[in-house]
Amino acid sequence: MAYLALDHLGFRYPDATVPALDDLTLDIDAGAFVVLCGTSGCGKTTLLRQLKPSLTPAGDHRAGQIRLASRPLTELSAREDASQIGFIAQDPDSQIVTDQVYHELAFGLENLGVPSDEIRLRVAEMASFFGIQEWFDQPCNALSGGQKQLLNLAAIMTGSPALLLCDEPTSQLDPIAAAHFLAALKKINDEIGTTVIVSEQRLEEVVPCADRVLVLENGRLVADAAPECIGAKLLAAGSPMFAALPTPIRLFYRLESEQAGVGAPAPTTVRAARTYLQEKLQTSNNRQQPGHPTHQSQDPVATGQTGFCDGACAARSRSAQNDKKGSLASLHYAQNDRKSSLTPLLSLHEVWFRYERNSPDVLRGLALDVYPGELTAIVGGNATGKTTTLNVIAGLLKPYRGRVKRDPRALPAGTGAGATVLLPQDPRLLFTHKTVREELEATLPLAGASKQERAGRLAEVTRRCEIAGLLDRHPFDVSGGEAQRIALADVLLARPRLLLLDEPTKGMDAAFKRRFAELLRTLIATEGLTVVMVSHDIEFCARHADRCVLCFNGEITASAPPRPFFANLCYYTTAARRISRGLLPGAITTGDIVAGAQKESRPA
Amino acid sequence: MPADSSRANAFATLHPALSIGYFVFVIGVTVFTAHPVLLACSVLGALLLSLQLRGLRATAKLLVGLAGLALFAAAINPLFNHQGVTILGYIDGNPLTREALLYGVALAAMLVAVLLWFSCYNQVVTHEKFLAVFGRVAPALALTTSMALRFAGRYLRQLKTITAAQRGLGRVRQGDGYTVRQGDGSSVLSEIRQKNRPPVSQCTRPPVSDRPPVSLRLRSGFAVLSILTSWALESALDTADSMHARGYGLPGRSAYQPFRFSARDAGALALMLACAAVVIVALTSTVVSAQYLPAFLLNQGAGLPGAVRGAITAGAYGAFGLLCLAPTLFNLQEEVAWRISRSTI
Amino acid sequence: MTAFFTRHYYAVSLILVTLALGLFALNFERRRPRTRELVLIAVLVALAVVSRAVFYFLPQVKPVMAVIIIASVALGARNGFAIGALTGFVSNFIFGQGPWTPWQMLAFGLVGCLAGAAFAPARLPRGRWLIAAFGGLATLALYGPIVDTASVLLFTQNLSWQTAWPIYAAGVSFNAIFAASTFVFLALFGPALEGALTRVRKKYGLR
Repeated sequence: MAYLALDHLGFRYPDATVPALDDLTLDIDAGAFVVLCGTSGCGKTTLLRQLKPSLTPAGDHRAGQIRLASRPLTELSAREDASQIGFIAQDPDSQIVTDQVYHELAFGLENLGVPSDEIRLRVAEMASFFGIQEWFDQPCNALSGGQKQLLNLAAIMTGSPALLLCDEPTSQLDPIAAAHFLAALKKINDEIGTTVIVSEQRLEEVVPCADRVLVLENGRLVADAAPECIGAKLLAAGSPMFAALPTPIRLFYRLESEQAGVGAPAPTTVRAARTYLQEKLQTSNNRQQPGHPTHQSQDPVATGQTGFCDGACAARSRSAQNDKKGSLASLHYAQNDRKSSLTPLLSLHEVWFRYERNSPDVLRGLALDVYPGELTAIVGGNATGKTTTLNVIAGLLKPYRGRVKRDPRALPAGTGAGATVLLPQDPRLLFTHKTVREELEATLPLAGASKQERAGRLAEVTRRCEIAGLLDRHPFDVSGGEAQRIALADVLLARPRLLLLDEPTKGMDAAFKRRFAELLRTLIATEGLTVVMVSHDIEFCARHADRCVLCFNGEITASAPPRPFFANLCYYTTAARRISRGLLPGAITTGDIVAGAQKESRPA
Repeated sequence: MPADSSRANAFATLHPALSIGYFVFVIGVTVFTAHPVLLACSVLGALLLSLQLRGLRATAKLLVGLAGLALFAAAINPLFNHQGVTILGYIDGNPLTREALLYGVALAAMLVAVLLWFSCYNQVVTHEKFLAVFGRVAPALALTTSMALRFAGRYLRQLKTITAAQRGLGRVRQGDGYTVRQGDGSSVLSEIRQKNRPPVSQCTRPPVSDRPPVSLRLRSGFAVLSILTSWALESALDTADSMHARGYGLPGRSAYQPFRFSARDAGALALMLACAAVVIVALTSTVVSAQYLPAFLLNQGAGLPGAVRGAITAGAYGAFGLLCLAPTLFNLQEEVAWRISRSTI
Repeated sequence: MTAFFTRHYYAVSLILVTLALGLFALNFERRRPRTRELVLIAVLVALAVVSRAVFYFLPQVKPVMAVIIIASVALGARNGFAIGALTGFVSNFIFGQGPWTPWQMLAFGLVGCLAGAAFAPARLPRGRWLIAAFGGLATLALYGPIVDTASVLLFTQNLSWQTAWPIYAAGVSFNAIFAASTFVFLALFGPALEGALTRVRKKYGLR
């Protein structure tokens, strides 16, 4: 008998016409690690909340049954609900209740009436298990986002639940914190045997941890398989979710689709994908020209592919000197190329900045050129000065040394309508009105046009940002992705010349990310907009940016178009590049690898 | 709370219930009796402890701030209270009496002592200690307070983010709205503390600031505050869900006590109780008492034999003196013990 | 006859205030507020405390009372007292506890309670100007006097008009500024806050 059994589960929200969950039947074994995915609004959150009675929303219609350890979930007492089923939501901050870390850890146990001495023991145990002793005595407000989410996890695990439900737990975290959190989840699953069901948008890291992947679409289960087989199922179903799968899986099916072997298990990790790709290239090479040396031994520099150079790692073994020259030349070639033809819209010269007189420098001689009509992506780790750079560009922070030079004809000074606009990470920080329409209408006068023009402008922006259906909603009653589009529309109404975006893809699903990129492209083409974005989302930047800039330690370490940029990096780069490193020079997306592999097998 | 950890504060390591009880008793006796000898002990004890916990600079700053208030207290009684039997002179035809003057001085001393004690209290009994103790007595209120404190820290930081966001959109001009420096929640709190000095009383409020562009700043203030309000109310739904999901509201809730009552606490408690008992006996028997108006009467207690009264009086003075100096001595002793043990490492 | 305490007026008044706050605490605990109610109270208390940071450039011009009044009108007299008293308590955790804490708690609490009672359904209509006028008046005639009386009791041995009036007089200008700013905040910001509260209360499923 399965641990958790859903039997023809259906659910519809009040006032909704279509069900949020439709006839779901599935069994989950005890100790499983299940990943639940699907586009936003597919029913992931609804399903997870159905599994936790205390969080189940009121609905118009419920069908079917859920059994937990062969008991109907409805029979669970409030105490059992609290102690046996843990739930972690998206926002790390708002789930924390008390103001001290130790108290937060004790909170759940206090609710269950556990005596003080036992709480002490359990809290100590949890703090040791998760390694949070270093910040045990801190107020919760002093923690980073990653630490907060880890605290939420630890606080729930003190009650030793048998089932742990996580609703996009890493969507608000940076990649390092997200990986840390997933490692903790995996550790709980492996070492404690807790059943974990986690919903996610970003599947690259979580899918390899899982032993099962469930894909929802419009409240229905469209695929249910192990990570090695989920790709085949999604392909067969023609699901758009295939595009959201981790690079190794996508790569496998794109390479296999033309040949036999789709039924074989797909690699889920970069390591496995490398092995697979290596074999693939070898067999095709052997088939073509038996005895011919494989591609690996070819020297990309020698074959004259410096633009597509294979980067530091392959070259390093040969000559450090040579490598340095090669990569630096390639990283800046495009910029030099540009410099001759275009004046930058804005350039930062030797900018130094610190927040307080006695604090360390955040920007140390940073130099950056922003070219008109380009999408520039600033990438880099945490606390390297990315967001500070964005604020300096916006003129919100003043450097204490160096200067910010602006092309006065193309970009008026200051922030606001017709000039520079910085869109904040949390779009909800923009909204001051009761409906989306009022919100947008309040911004309209800033566009400085006649009444008819304004109405036309509103209609155009509304259409472009796909928010026509949301105009009469309250801006807080829409989903995260919708809020982002509303914020973007709001900002665009003021016709900015330079749009600055801080982590715009955080919390977006794969499908919307693609539409978002298209929208940015359209705006750049039709409105003459220039965009600078700061992002952790390397895959997005590699695919959609015109120029990528690596910020490290308050400096710009590299600046180039995405292809040479990511092809020159070995660690901080796209998964496709890590898979193909040393095998196919210059490939940074799955498409590149596929093209490269095809060229290998069918030489001209 | 930013208790200065570099300075010896061993007193703060005692069980918080003990610290709270200590401050309540000492401040209570100081405020209610206005007995000159007890007041002197109190002022001395509070001053030494403040010097020890907060250092010379902070203590001096506080005393300077208190000077006006003390002066006000010392002046208001002789100037406006014309009770008292010994007339020193006349101001505008109103008598100035020695008793009223004395009462004014006593009052000033009392205010200085109380505010010094409170400044030490804030160093010793941080809010988490207070809430841990009161979580037992009033769990719902303690939790609400704890949540409100956390929210307050969060909102202060969010205010900064909102202002920055509004500036990035060009809706709030540079220099408007609310700014705090980068840092964690606790430093945000201390920042806010500096910007709004504590209202020492109704009578000593900070002067009106002299920065001019008020109407614009008011308007951006409203925008920022209304965004904060919507955001705060909305995100609190998640907090309520999280509490509900983790079983808040189930019957039979327990209160985790992170602080344990140690043997050292027991010793300190015994000493405090003994001292307090002597003081309470002396005060309730009115052997130790002070009356200022209309006539100054000291220790005019009940009809006990003189020797007994003398013993009780001496005992009460000694006990209260010891009590007031206890934290300072305790800290000193711990400091010395630490120095010695460190030198043997 | 000699009393135990020389300053028995202060002692008795402090005991009474503490007792009143204790009774409120007992009532609050007995009532076992629902989780969402508790969270809402905490949010409003934090907002009231933090609101003064927004207008830090104008001392004494603080929206604290305005937030308390709107919150109390929305959540009723009992919760109004809780919000007011806890605001006094929490803001003193941040700005420093002192002998004024209990009186401030009581004064804020009473204004909240009164606001909740006066604007309960079927009593006064919840008009913008009426609430604003109520806020100004309550600050001037209830909050101010209570806090000033605390100073009087602290500063003098026995209550006499002779010694009390200078203290009240010293407080008048501050109370007037506070009352005027409360009026202005309620008139300008009140409806927005009330709207947000009504919306969220519906979402919370409270009343």
